[in-house]
Amino acid sequence: MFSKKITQYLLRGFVSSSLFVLLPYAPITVTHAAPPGTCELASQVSELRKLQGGTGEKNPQGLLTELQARKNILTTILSCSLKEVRGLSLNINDLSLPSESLKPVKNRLGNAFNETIAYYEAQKLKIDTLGIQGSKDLAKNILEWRIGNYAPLSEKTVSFILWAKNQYLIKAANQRSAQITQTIKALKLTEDADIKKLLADANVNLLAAEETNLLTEKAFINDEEHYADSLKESLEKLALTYQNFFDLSEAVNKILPHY
Amino acid sequence: MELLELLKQLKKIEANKEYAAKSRRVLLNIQKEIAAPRISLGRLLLQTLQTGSTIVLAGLLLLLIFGGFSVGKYLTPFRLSSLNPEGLRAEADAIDIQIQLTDLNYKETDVPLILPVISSTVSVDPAITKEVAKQAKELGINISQTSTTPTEAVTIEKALEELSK
Repeated sequence: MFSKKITQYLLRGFVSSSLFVLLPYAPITVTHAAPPGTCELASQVSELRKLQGGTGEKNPQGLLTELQARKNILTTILSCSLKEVRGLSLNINDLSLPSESLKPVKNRLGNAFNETIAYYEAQKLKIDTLGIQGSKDLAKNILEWRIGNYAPLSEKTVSFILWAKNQYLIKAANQRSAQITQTIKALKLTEDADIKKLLADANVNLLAAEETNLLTEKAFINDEEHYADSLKESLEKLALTYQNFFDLSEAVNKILPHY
Repeated sequence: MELLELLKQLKKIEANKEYAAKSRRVLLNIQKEIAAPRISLGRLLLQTLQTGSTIVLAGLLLLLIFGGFSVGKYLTPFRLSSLNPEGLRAEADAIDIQIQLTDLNYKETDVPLILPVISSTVSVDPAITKEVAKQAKELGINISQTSTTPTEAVTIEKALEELSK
């Protein structure tokens, strides 16, 4: 009877373990993101530095060359920025949501991306008419806009994608916890003091991971800005849960005979 | 004296003739069956099978006892998949990757790629670092892949800063 139960656990465990390994990677596809490195700015900026290097007053031809270099860099920057935001936007579009209640979050981010794209497109139209000072001002404005608008949007989007992926990790941890509890019961080790404590610790940590995960979800739904701490805390609690699982594995291994 | 007479009379006691004849018949028939059991092919096969299986089972039992087999070895935790460290490791690694990506997301661009936050009991797996770098790139997080060499890449922010001068 006992060995029959063990066989059942082994089989069930094998199937679930296979799913565990695959689950976290299955629904998240981020292949559409703009591949960094394709925006080669280093050589263009270096060229501009060389042009700016001379002391004294520049001749009109020198100024024109510098202006053209500036315009070229601005064009590259805006093209790269558009590629960047479109990549992130596609990531969000492709994202599988764990529940329907998160659809407004996805839509909100999608709208923000559309506004960002419109902003960059509008800046592109300004380039042709720029002078040297105008190019400096435009660069400054775009930089400020990116810091104030795009950086928080990008950060929130990546956080949301990471959070969505975390749902599969939490689910896997729950399944793992249930299996371990069953195995320990089957082995009649529930009364062992060390194992009892480790199992309780794992449950406490997993519960904390779920609670903080829920806080993050609420922050996303309510469009609040304090999602970062709970997002990280949830993962840290999940990591602690797995540390407990490892300790349990070791403790059970010590009790059961070696062959 | 009376007692002696009574004992002498016991000699005269005889069994009922019919009962004696019936008992004799029954006894003689049994003896006949014991002495010569009926032989048939089915009975022979059954007996062979019984003997054979007994020998095989006894041999198997001896093999199990002296051949080093033990049920216990199938119960060690490494065979209990829910507690299998390898299975646990795969899931813990996925969490490590998420933690690192979360950290990178809130840092300035071009930060050196940090090492795993958890898994204090194991050495850093280069495969995890590689996976973090890959996923960070896919998410558009700018990172440099080593902690010693500063990146030579010019980010959009750096280029804009240069242009605004």
